[in-house]
Amino acid sequence: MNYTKTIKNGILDENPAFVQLLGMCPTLAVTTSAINGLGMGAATTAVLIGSNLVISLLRKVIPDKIRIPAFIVIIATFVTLIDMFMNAFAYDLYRSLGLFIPLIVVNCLILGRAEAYASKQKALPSLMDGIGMGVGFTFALTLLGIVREIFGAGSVFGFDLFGEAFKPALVMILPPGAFIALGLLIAAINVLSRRHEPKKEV
Amino acid sequence: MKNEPIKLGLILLLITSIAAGILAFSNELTADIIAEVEEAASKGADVAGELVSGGSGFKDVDQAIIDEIKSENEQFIDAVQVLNDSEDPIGYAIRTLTPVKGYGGDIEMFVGFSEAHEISGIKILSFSETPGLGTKIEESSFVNQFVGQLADKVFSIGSGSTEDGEVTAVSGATISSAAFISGVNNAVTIYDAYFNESSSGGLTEEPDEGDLASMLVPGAKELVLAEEDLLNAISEENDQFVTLEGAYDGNDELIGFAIKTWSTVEGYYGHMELYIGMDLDGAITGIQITEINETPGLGTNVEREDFQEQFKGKTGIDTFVISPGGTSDDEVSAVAGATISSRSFISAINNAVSIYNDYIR
Repeated sequence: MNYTKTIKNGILDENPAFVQLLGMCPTLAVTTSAINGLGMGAATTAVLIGSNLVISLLRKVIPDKIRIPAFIVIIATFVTLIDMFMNAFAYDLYRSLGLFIPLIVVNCLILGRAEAYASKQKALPSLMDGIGMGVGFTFALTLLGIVREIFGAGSVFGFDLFGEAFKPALVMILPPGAFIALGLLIAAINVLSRRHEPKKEV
Repeated sequence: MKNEPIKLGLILLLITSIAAGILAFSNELTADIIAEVEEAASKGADVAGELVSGGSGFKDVDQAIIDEIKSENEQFIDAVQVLNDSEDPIGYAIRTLTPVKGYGGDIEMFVGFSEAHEISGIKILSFSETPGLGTKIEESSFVNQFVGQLADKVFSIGSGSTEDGEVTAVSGATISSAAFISGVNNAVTIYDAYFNESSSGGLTEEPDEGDLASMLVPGAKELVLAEEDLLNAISEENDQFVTLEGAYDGNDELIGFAIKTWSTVEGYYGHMELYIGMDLDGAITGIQITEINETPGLGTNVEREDFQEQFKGKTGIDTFVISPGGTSDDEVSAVAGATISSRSFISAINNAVSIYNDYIR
C-alpha cells in the first residue's frame, strides 16, 4: 500500500467533511473564523491519529462484540488527554474551543475511521490514514472558516482585509451561513473533481 | 461459551483500567499547571496590570463590605484592591456578572478603576458568546471605548460622544454588547456606591434636591411630602404609587406636584420607576426615570427628550395611548423598536395622571 496515496485519499478523494460529510457538528459549529477551524481540525487530527494507531494495534485483542465500547473508551481517553494538555499549555485556544473539545468524542469521523479502517489494517497504514483524514478534515474546516470569516467579518485569520468601508454579511458567521458556505463549497468541489476525472461509462 | 460475557466484561475492564491509569497519570502531570494558568488568568499579576496600569497584585477588601454589596446586588461577585509593585493601593477592581444576559448567558467580567476614578481596564473572565461574533466584545476596539471614562455615568449604545457614556456596539452583536455594557454599568454603580471616596455625584446619589425639584417642576425650589393621610389613602388604592410631593417655589408658594410611581405594565426587564412633575392644572412638566432596567441603547431610549416631550404640557388627559401619527392630545408615538419599554413608561405616566385626577384635582 502506497502511504502517500493513503494520505492524499484522506485529503482529497475521500475528504471527510466535503466528500464523506462526516463530523458535521464541529464542521458547522466552530468554523466561524479560520483560526477556530484550524484549531479544531488540529485537535481532531491529534485524537484521530492517536485513536487510529492504538485501535489498530489492539485490533486482535479487542473482541468483535465489544469493539464499539472499547473504541469509544480509547477515543474518549485521547480527547480527555487533549483537553487537559490544551488547558495547561494552550490556554487561549482552549478558551475559544473549550466547549467543542469534549464533543470530539462523538465526532463520527473518528469512530467511523476506527470502524472502517483502523480495526482492519496494520498500525502504519492506520497511522497514515489518521494523518490523511485529519489533515483533510483540518483543511476542510480551515477553508470553511476562511470563507465564512471573509464574508462574515471581512478578515482572514484576524487580519482585516477590506477596511472600514466593508459591510460584512453577518449571516455568514451565524449558523445559517455555515450551511450556505458548506453547501457552496461542496458544490464547487464536485464541479472541480468532475472536470478532472475522465468521463466514465455507466 | 457460557463464560463469554464474563470474558468480554473482563477485557473491557482491562481496557478501561488502562485508560483510567493513563488519565490519572496525565492529570497528575497537568493539574498543577492548569490551576496555575487559571489562577493567573483571573487573579495573576498580568490581570492586575490589565485592569489598572502599573498593577501587579490584588488585595482582598473587607469581607463585611463584600457581604453588604452581595446582599444588594445580585450580579456582584467580588471586589479587590489593586496594588502596585511596592504594594501600595492604586485602584479597585470589581468582578461582576452582567445584569442583562448575553446571547450565550451570563458574562463574567472584571472592571478596574484607577485612583482618578476612571475605568482603567476591563477583562472578560468567562462568556459563551458566538465565536467570531459576540466574542468581539473582547476586542480592544470595543473595550477601549470605556477605558479612561470617569466612573460617573451610565453607558448606553448610541452614536454620541463617549464622554456622555454613548458607545458604539459591535456591529451584529448588539445583544452581547448590551450585556457587556450592563456589566460595566453595574461595576460603575458598585464602585461609586462603595469605593469612590470622592464621589460627589455618583450614580447612586440622588441629584441635589433643588435641582431635582426644578427639573420636575420648573421654578420649584423645594419638594415637600404630602400629608400622611393622603399618602396612605393613595397607597391603599394604588399599588404602584410611591410618593406624592408638593413643589414650592422660592416664596414657598405651591406651584405643582411631584409623583413617584412604578409602572403598572412591565417593561422588557421588569418595572420602571418614574418621578413625574406636574403643574397645578395637571399638565406634566418634567419626567425623571429613577429606576430602569431596560436594554441599554434600546429600551433605555425612553429617556430621550423627544419621546418624553410628547407627554408634557397637556391638560385634561385621562390616559395616554400609543397611536403613531395620532393628532389628538392623548395619542403618542412609541420609541422605535422599544414598544414594550414605551408601554411600561406610558403606564407609569398614566398611573400618575390618574392619581392626579383622583386625589389632587
